[in-house]
Amino acid sequence: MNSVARRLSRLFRHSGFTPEPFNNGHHQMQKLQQCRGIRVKVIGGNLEAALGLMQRKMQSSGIERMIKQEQRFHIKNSEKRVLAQKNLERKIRSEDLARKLKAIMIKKVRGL
Amino acid sequence: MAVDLPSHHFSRRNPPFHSTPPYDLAVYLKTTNQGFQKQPVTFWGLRDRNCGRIVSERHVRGFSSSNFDWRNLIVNENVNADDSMQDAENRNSEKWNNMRLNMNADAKAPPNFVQNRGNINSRSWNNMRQNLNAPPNFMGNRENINSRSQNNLGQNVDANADALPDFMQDKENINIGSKNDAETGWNSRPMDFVRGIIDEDNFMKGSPFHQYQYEQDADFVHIKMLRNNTFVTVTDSQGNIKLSGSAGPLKDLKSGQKLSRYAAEATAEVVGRKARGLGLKSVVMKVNGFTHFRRKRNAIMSWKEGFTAGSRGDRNPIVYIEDTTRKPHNGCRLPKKRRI
Repeated sequence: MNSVARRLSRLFRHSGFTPEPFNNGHHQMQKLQQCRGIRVKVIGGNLEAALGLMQRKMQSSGIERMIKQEQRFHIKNSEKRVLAQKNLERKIRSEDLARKLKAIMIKKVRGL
Repeated sequence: MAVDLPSHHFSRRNPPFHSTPPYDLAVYLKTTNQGFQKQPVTFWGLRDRNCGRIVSERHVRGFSSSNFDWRNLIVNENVNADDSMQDAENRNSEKWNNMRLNMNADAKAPPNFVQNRGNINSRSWNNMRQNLNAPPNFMGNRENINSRSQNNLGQNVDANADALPDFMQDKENINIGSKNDAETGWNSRPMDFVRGIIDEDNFMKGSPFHQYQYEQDADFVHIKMLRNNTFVTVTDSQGNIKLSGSAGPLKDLKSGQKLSRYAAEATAEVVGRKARGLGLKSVVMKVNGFTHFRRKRNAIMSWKEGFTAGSRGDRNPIVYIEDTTRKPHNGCRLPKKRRI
């Protein structure tokens, strides 16, 4: 049913935001399956504008955030638990420090 | 009879003293008599009657000289009156002659009939001109008016019969001018409209075919960006490889980690320069790599610069940019962490 819906939607509207397979008549499966990824059309040969649009799309989709949080090696579950606790302690420590700094600034501003 | 008349006059006038004036009058009478002789018999008969009356009067009043002179004068006046009458009759005879000729013409064959009509028209024109020369003739003027109306009706039904010829001609010219103007106006606007439609059709027909063809026959440039290496491959729309390159063969990227960050740019530029000779018209860039977008942007721009290097003003062949980076959802187990 999804494939049928996609075909119908393709017939009625051809939007540039939804990536669709190019007109390759030789690959039938490629027609039925929707392409993955982000596609941008270069209008009038203006490549810089297209690249800017693509960057905005990637940031909004969240791929950039995934890239920042890349994990390249396997980590054991016990090690994950320890790492989580360490992160929590680090977080609490940073919050206390922030609270102290805030009190000091208020006291100085009031002139007490 | 002619001989008798002058003898009577001569004998009567010779005895009285007034000889010269009667002599002149006698000469006048002779000439008139001769003219009368030329006329038909009927007129001659009338003349005889008049002569009889005159003779009778002369015989009755011949006794006194004074009475005789007055009677002669009266006779002369009567003769003048007769002359005027004869002129009128002559006119009538002329008309009858014209009518007879016309009837004969009508009786004859059709071509003669046509010719006669032409003659009639010519007569009317002649009459018009003559009457213009001679204004006082009222009858002639009437005939001219009729002829004008007939001619006008034949030529232009819309025209007024009473209008002057110059005014008529002006009207005709005005009509012709208006027709010409209408034709030109009517012809120019539709042509402009038609040309506009043709131009629009050409413009509309050109672009979709052009774009569709390029999209249909687009080539692909696959850029695979890894942490320390980059692969660039040029294929056709069906996936057949035309050209490929990687960072390995490059000579200047053999040492250290500082240079590996520029591997993508360098490789893309080299492959773009090589692809210039393949005759690519439209290209779809497919970038795949779990790296920051900054590096992807630089790779794409480098490929374009390599392709269009050397030939200024060349068209940008890139028509689509696509990012096909994918990450599995809880996929296989990652490798073990390296012990340092």
